[in-house]
Amino acid sequence: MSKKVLMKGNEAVAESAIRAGCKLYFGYPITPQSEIPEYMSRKLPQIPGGAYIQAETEVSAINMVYGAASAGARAMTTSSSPGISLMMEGISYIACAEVPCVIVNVMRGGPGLGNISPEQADYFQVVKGGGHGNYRLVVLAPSSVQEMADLTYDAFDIADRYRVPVMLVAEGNLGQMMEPVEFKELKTEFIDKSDWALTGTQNHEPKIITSILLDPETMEKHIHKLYEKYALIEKNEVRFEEYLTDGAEIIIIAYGLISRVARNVVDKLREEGIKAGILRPVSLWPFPNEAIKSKIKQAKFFFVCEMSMGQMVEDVRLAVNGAKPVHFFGRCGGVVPTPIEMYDNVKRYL
Amino acid sequence: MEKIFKKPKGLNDKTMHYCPGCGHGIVHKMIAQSLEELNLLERTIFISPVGCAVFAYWYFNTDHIQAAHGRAPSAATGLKRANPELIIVSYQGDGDLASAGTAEIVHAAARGENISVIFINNAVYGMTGGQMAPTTLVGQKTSTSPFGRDPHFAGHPLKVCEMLATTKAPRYIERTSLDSIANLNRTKKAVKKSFDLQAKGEGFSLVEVLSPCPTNWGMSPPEAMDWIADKMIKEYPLGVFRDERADSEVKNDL
Amino acid sequence: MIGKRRLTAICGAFGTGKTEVSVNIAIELAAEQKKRVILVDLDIVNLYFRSRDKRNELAAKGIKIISGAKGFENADLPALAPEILEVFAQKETLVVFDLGGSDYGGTVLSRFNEQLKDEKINLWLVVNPFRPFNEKNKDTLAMAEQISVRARLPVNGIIANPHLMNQTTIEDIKQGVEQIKQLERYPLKFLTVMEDYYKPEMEEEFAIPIMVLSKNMIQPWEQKFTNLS
Repeated sequence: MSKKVLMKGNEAVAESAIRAGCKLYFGYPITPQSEIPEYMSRKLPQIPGGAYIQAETEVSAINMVYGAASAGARAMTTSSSPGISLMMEGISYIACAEVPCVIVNVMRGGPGLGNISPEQADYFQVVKGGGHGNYRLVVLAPSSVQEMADLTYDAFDIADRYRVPVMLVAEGNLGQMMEPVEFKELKTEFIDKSDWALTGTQNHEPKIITSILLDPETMEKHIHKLYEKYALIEKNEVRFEEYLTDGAEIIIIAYGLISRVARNVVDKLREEGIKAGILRPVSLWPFPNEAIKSKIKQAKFFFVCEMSMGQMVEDVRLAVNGAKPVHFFGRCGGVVPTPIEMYDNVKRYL
Repeated sequence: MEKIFKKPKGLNDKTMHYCPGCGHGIVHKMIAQSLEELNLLERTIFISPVGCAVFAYWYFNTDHIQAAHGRAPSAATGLKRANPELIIVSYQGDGDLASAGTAEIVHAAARGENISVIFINNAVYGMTGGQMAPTTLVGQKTSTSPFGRDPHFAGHPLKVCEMLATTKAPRYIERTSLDSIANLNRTKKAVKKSFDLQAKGEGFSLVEVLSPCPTNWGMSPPEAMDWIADKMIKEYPLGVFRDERADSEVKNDL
Repeated sequence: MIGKRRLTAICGAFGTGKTEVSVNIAIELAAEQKKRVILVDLDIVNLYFRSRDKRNELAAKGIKIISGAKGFENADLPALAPEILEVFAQKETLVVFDLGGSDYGGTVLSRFNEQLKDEKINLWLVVNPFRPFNEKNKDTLAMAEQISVRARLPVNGIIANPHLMNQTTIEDIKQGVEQIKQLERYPLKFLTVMEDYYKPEMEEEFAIPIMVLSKNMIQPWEQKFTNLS
């Protein structure tokens, strides 16, 4: 049998998490990510020490993750946009208390109950905050089922390495679509957590995991400590992918699944002799600012395409800082842009 | 001379921040004594809520996690499922447990999580300054029910033990009080029993403690004890609401 | 390939290709038997990528789709259309039921137990050994049994659908078919091969009937620019 299996994006996340040593899953059903809890509910009870707990709400699910991860275990929850809104309180607590965990957001259309179609309108929510207070969330955006698997591994590693929550964001159709996937050999670095994880006081003084720091100076000091860590993440964990950007004059910036629509468009433009390329942010935070800046000189313009009314485009504009035009094209409400309309929109600016 | 009373090992030497006459310190001591007597201190993770007990970790010689408002039972679920060897003390007040975290406590109980919940009911929001709680008595004046709790606007007090006893999984549910020596002894026994059951893997237990808040009630500590005896116990009858698991192995062929 | 029975229900684990196979069976029935064909979308499990998306295209081929309650096709709401009941009375019509994934997908057939008392139905399990819940034959057999229990009808055939989407090789198909052939408890009805990689010599090589699948779902990133001016 080939080493590849055919999987939905959601299943690939679940299987990858299990292979990364995540034995504890807490979640609440919501379309279009329910394959993840379904997969976990079949697999985890068969693993020694494994548990699938269907939480009463997303609010509870993220707090169960907080508890399990505080005990030193690799734990995960997953949801879709409205459910992620409910988790924001918990994510803020987890960020402040420096507890590593993984959250997966298979995004759907909003605002409100919206619909179950794919959208990328959670960028502001997950990249710019969502929860209260001074914190950052590492956000990774895969564009294929294979990357859903690969980045899930990496998310657990990054979470443990920096003691931060990490979120994977995928559009609804990326969670639902099937592609062959190969699970690479696990090279996870299991970091010793004994200096902070709650295991009882047999061999050490009492430990505390908390997010309350009453004294303003102490709180400020703690936030500075968090931001030193974030600076390190910005230095080490920026991820992006380039496609035909060498000498490209039109830089298309798109993340997730629609970067594949953009690829189709770039191939067509190249056929016509138009020098176009794609810069695909893989980490939405830390954002690939420097990579974008490095293209300013060669670019005639930047073209940002999103399945939203324009959210990541603000970060691109900050990076470009007025040096070159930044154009935007987006569809929303769950409409996936076709290559043809994206192509037509790029051509408007030629 | 023989020392007949000593501070339990589970508590450190810090002076507690609770007001004079408050029930929290009394229950903290009972928790520490019980854990020591059962030799469970080293395995214990104490979960503090949002409320006056948010800083409980200042006093206990155990590992500690502070939970978001109302979410202590969820954090407890995660901890216990990650490491069943741990002894989880989920400590919550009435605003935390019966308002912000009603869903969490009901479902932790319904799942029969093997944890001990110590629920301090003092019929008022202490931390934020004496506002109306879900357990505030009808007619009781608070800073947000200045004319007395009016059921027309605020409904009736939530009875947690009675409510949770409708679910099948809990192993032990009792309501006790701190208003008399007899009831103090009863409370200590209940707290210890709850930990003992957890250590034996028997399942979910909850001890609701009717506890005085003289500061926010505007009473002297003795008056506060009398108010528990005269008013609170009438609304919240003491007793055991569950002392066996009502469920058995359930097989569903569907 | 489909045989004489008027009713065929397609079941299987999540994502084994039930919808693709159901649509293709409906197309084949419409083309060969010159009868009215109704494709009933009974997927109450998952609402992405389903046969009801294909309504207009199939209508042109003489296939009617019955799916969720009218106006609620995009709702996150697995409501069954009342007209489903009519297909059991229309004895001249050929019907293909596209069930939802896993054993749970079989549940919906149980609701039509009364209607199915007097008429035999093909209940065929689509198997793709490259899918996680079909990787091991024992899991596939367990699922077939569970579907039979949930549907209150026995699974009575298997459709081999071994593939890795557009990365499928002949070697993959060969390995897949070999594994599926070991599922001896259920008769193997036919093998499906996507038109992109179908070759006539496969008929001989595999010694089982082959249904060539036409590709139905084209994703936006797969669209070609042939229609551009």
